[in-house]
Amino acid sequence: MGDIANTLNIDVSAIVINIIGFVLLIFIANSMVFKPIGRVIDERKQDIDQTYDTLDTDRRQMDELRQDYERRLAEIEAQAREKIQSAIKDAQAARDQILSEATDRSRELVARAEREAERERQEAMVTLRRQIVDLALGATAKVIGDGMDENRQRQLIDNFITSGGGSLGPASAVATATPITTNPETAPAAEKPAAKPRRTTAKNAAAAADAPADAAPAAPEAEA
Amino acid sequence: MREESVARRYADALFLQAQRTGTLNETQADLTKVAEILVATPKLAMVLAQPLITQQNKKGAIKTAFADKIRPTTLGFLNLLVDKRRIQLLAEIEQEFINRLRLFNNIALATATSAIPLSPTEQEALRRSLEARTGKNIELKTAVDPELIGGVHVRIGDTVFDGTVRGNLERLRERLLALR
Repeated sequence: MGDIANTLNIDVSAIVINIIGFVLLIFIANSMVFKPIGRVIDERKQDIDQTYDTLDTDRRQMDELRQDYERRLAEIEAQAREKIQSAIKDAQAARDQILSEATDRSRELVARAEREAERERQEAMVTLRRQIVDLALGATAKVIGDGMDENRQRQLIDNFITSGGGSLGPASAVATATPITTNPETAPAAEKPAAKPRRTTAKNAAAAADAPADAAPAAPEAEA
Repeated sequence: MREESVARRYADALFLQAQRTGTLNETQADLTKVAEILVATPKLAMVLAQPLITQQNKKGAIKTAFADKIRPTTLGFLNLLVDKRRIQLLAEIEQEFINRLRLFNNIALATATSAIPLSPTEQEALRRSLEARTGKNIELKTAVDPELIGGVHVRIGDTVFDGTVRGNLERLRERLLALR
């Protein structure tokens, strides 16, 4: 064995020493380098694993939150839709009510305007009739006044005195002492000879006002 | 309205007193005389109406003005009005007294208004006619209003007899306006 080693120029001791040195080197390296590096790598790995775990946890939480948010968003959106629908219904109801009120109001306005127009028409008719009557009676009074002489005056006075001497006629017994001779419309009344004066009291003035066709209105003095 | 009521009470009291003593007409004459004097002497009326003048001075003025013209009873009544601070109601009291006296004597005041003045004969006939209608003695006052055109308008208290052309035209107007 030794010869072979010599022949091959192999130094066994050197090999042994090298092996021992190599083993020592491995041991030292293992204890000084590899183990600390392994620990660091393990710690780093644990740290990375922990980070991954944390990430997984955060992701799950995030997913839960996202789902929760999405659910809440859906609920909010549903509520918003309901509110919008409700608001639309309310708005439609309000619109219908406003339209109804506006229609009623417009009808009322139209009716009021019609009533007002009718009232004004009636007033105009009354005014017109009054003006016509006043005009006609004014002309009649003028004609009668122009044709009135003293004899006619005395005759009227005598008629008043003699005709009413006995009885106190009712309120409807209107005096007809007016000698209307020039106005054909009033001539028949003037031709009645018995000029029975009308007796008007505060009491029968109201009755006379209620019976315009027959009774003349009460004299202002009586009403006073 | 309240003063009218007060005046009516004083007039009633004076009337009862005069009725009791049988001096209604004399009392009325006294009141009329007092009213005439007050109208003729506005200064005296102003003195009586002036609240700053004492009652004694007012009584003195009344005595000076009326003592020899009216009876003592009426003079006393005037002094009573001064004492009660009602002398300013004298005109109303006189009117109320006259109204009471008319009522007592069954006299009604009639105011006849015509377009032309009534002759004495017509006035007498009208008075008799109204007496027949009302059953009262009529004291007739006349007035002229050409606006009546013709006929006579008589007012007795609240009662009106209208036989005028103007009245007939007014009634005709009301009828025409009442037609539908």
